[in-house]
Amino acid sequence: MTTSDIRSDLKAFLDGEVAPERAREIQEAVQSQPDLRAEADFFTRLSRSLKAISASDVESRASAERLATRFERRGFLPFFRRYAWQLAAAAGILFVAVLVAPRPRSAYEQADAGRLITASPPPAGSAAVGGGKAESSLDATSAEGELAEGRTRMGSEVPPSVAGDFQLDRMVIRTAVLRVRVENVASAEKSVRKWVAGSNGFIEDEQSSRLDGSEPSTLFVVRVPEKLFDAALDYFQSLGVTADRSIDGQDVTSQIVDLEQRVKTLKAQEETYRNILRQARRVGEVLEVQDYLTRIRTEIESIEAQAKQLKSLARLSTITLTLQQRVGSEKPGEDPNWASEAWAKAVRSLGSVLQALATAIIYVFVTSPIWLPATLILWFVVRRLKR
Amino acid sequence: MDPLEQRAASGDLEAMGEIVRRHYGDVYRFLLNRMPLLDAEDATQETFLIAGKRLRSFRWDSTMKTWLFGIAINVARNRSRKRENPLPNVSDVECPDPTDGLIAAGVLKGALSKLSSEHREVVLLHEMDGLNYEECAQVLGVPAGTVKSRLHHAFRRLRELIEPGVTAT
Repeated sequence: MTTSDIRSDLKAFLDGEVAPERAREIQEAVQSQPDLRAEADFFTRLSRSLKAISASDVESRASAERLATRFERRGFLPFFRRYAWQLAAAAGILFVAVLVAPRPRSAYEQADAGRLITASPPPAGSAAVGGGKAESSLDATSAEGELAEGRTRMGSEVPPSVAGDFQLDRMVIRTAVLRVRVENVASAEKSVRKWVAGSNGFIEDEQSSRLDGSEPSTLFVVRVPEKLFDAALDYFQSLGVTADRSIDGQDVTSQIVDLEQRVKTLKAQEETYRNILRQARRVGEVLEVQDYLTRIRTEIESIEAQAKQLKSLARLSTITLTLQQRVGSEKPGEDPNWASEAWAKAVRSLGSVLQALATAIIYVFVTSPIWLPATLILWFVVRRLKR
Repeated sequence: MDPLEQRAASGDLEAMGEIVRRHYGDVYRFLLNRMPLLDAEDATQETFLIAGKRLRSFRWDSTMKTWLFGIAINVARNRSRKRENPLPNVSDVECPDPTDGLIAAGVLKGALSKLSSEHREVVLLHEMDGLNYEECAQVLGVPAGTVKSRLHHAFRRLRELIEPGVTAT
């Protein structure tokens, strides 16, 4: 081994970074060669000198503590970072579930399916054109059925078989406002109560007025099962002469389906957060997840309440019925109380005239700051001119 | 595998706080050997903030300390580049007494500043930061043999600079 080889490993030898056998060789060479020994001595001295000027005893604990605390205070941040994969996976699963899950068929789709089976055959003329034509004829029938659907609820033009198909799972809030003039309000009230009780419905509100006067009337807000809506209208109208009638139908099927879908999604989210809660280790995380859970639960309950209310409204139709005693004006000759009716009308008219007069006086008084000075000036000017 | 380091590597910032307490002094001294006192504290904080962001990329083929030194060395290089007049890469701590056989600090600083950056860095890592060859290799990202070679040449060069007349052939 040459001196040059020894020399190249001398520093490593002094640092204890050579194999024992090699170390022995270098040791012998250093002892036997003065220049190598001098170099080794210098390297050792240089190494000691370098260590002596290194920053070895610098106080840094305070700074370390500050920085460590800074990290620890940021500890609340990485909640999402820590559970990023779990949250991303949960979101992905939810997304896929929403895409893949069988979508509830809307009432329209169900009705369409039923109609394709039960629809009557197309006219002979269109069948002669071919299969495509026949199909479009069916579509035309469907479209016509859809257009007529609203009228179905009104109990009119659409044939019963088609109407039956459309009623599949359909949720419609039906309301009617009815004003009926009856011979005797008290007996009509009894009839209404008896009919409503027999139909498993109920009277939601009742207000009577002028019971001691010439035109007593009673207002009922009646809830009857949806299937008996038309029968109820027929019966109430049979109590007297119908003065006003308006019927309305609001289809809430899609709204209910939408609400139920949202509840499903929120429940899936709730389950995900529950899983996260089970894994949470720190109080801060637990509280945070519980906060999310509370919010989701509140939203679920709110949506469920909305859906329940819509279903309830659809299940029980609402009829606002006003029973009004017939007045003599309809058949004056037959009313024995015409004189008292006339007196009452005259008194009411006088009241109206007096009220109008009082209103005019108030207006004149209130606006007097505007017109009074002008009038006075005018009066003064006219008087001077006359002199 | 240290459980604390494992927790820190998994993103637990409380564990990172403990890592700071454990290694701050080492990193601070490491940087103090390469820049002035005032800069070293900022650079140390910068090093740990970078480490906090890169914790997930920490591989277990080195110790946390050498990994932190690897970051610190880059911080020091970046700061050195930004300075108009790079300072000598040794600290301003009190100079040793020349009478105890040691080389005067001023002479050492002057000689170190004349080394190439590669040679100076390996001298600082090994002699002043106390890393062995393997650890130096990890910090610098070079083989241990290269560390050994650079150290040998650096010491030879320092001898030439400090004792010009007695340099061996």
